[in-house]
Amino acid sequence: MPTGIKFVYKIMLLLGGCIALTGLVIALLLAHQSRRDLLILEESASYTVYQAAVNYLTGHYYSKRENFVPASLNFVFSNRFLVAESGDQFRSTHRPSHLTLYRADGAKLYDFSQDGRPRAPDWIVAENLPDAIRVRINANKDEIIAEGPLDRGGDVPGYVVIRLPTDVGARLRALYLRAGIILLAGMLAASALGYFFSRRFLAPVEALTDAARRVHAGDYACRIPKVGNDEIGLLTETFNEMIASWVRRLSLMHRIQEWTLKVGNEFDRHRLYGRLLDMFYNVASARQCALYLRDGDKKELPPAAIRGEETLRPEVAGWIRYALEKNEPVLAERRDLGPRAALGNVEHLVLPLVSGEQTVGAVYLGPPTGAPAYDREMVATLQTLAQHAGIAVENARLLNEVAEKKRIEQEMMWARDIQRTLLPHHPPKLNGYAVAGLSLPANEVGGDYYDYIPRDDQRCHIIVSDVSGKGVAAGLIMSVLRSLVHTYSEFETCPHEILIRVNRVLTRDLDEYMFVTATMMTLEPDTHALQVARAGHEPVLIVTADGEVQWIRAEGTALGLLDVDSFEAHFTSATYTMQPGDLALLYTDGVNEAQNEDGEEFGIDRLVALAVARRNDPLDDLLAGILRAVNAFAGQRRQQDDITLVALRRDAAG
Amino acid sequence: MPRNELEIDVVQDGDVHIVTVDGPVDSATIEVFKEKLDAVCNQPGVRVILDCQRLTYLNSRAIGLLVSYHRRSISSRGKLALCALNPKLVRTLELLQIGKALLTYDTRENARAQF
Repeated sequence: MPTGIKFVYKIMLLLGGCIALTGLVIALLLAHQSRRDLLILEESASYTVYQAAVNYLTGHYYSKRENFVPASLNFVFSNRFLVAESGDQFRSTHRPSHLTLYRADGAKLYDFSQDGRPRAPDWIVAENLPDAIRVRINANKDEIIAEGPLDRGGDVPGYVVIRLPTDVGARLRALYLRAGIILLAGMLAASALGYFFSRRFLAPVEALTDAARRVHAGDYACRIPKVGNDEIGLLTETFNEMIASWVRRLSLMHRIQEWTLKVGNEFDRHRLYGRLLDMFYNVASARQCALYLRDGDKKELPPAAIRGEETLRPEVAGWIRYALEKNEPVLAERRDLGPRAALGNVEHLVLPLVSGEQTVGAVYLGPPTGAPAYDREMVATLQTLAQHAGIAVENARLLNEVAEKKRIEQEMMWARDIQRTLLPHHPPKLNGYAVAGLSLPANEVGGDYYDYIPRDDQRCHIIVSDVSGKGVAAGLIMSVLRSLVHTYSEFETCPHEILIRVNRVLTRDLDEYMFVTATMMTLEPDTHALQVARAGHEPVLIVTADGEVQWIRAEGTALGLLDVDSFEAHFTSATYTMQPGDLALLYTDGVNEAQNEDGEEFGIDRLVALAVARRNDPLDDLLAGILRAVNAFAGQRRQQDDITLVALRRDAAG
Repeated sequence: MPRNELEIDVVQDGDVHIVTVDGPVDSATIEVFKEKLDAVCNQPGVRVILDCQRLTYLNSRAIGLLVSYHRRSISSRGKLALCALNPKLVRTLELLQIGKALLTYDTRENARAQF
């Protein structure tokens, strides 16, 4: 931490400087005044001596018949001039050290010196002769010089110059020295006082600085004792409150962080709701807390979970409705808090839980414990928490949806596997015949069904059917159909009879909008008779060895579509005798109605052409070739319907 | 491109409801089709002509519905007929062998004349 000059020293210097400056000014003023007074005194004294000298010299001049007698003058100036008698002692004051007389023309007339060494100049040039008394101090300030005419009226011609010794210089120096010492002492005293009082007044400031450093270092427990009620005392109090508030916020932030982590790590919806509620309940210290989750467009929502008191106020339902509809918080305020309301007066809170632009729920918080109302800071914190909660709820919902989708997909995969087991794994071995089949559902589970059911009497039933609709419902009907067909195939030799019996059951049990189309044929390998019954399904395509095309169109409506009597009244069968090389092809409408991207259908003609062209191919190749052609025709368009193909061919050699 | 929306218009001509279907009836539109047809065909003794001139596709569930309405109309002494069927629909109905059960007419006028 950078350290400059301490504040206390700055104050000390400032105070010392101010006092020194003031002292200096005062000392200078006093010195100036003292100097002036001294000079005035000295000048007055010298003026007096001058007057006395002039008076004496004037008297001497007239008594000596207008002449000056040096011997007489020497005697007077050396012994008697300005001597005051006092008892036995004599004290001379202001006796001139030098006295010089000049004639009117400036020539020296008489020169007296106390030390016997006269040194006045012999002449004074005319322009320097004083016309009135002049008093001055020499440069060393140890001698006062008074000079002037002997008689301003001119009766006594001549001039006198008197030099008086003076200690004014020494006294002035002593005066300046004393002033300097006093000034220095004053400065030192001022500095000491400045230091003392600064220390005293700035001690709380230093304590504040120290406390701020400790807080910065992480000591949030430190507080400063309050000193007085002045500004410093107020600052101390404010500092303590600030630290306390900071500690509260820090604690709140830690709690929020802790809860956010807990909530963020919870992906189970129901546990998440519990944790969210616990979070609001604990962070807000609410007496009561309730979580509501949007359920479609339902207006009246029961709480998904409650913490605290079980019974909710009747107004809460309306608040929740408002928050969900308007996507705005509801803040119920207290009006009886007085000045405390300035901190915040929210007693009940409803916060919408928002994700993106969607309101996914709302949380109600009852009055806080330990305080009459929520303060503004807590309300803002809870609103921030509500934003996090909204996102968490939506994420959990999406995650749940993904999990649910995965579960359904997995179940569909199992259903598909199960359905595959319901289809024949291998074609039966029929004497003189080859048989093959394939089925490709549009979805995981399909409604198409094909089967070969060989009987002990060498007959073989072959069926292709299509349940109306697609998906799981069609798949379930398909499995029912398979059971019925297998059951009745045990007892009936004729496909016509089998389908009549199947229809009786399906008509009774099927949903009124569902039906099943089927074409069933029974082959008698010995006689080559192929008996065909058709219940609203595609007819049997026969392609002979020569490539001739025939259709076996027995009459019959779809199973389960009409009432039993109507069905049976119009249900017939047909018989065809298979010739060597004859190919019988069964299919569902997923083949001929397969569409390309332009909406064009694959059609019967393409199917027939393929069957004719590849009538002698191995049956698996034939069916795979048809499927490839259908897929190539559909291009990028998704398969719309289940596709099923079954082929039966009599050996050419047979 | 065939349109994907289904529009159903019902007008009353005397005691006959004429329902015009415009668009495909597939898995996406079947519920609309059922809702509109239920409102008309579930009335006892109602006489309905379904104009299929602009019907582009009818899935198997819709065919089942029509047969169901037909049964109800017979039991309540009402009448349901289809008219102006496109060839594909004719083939489907022929395949299902329900042409004998459902009354079909080539034009709406012929159907109206027979009611």
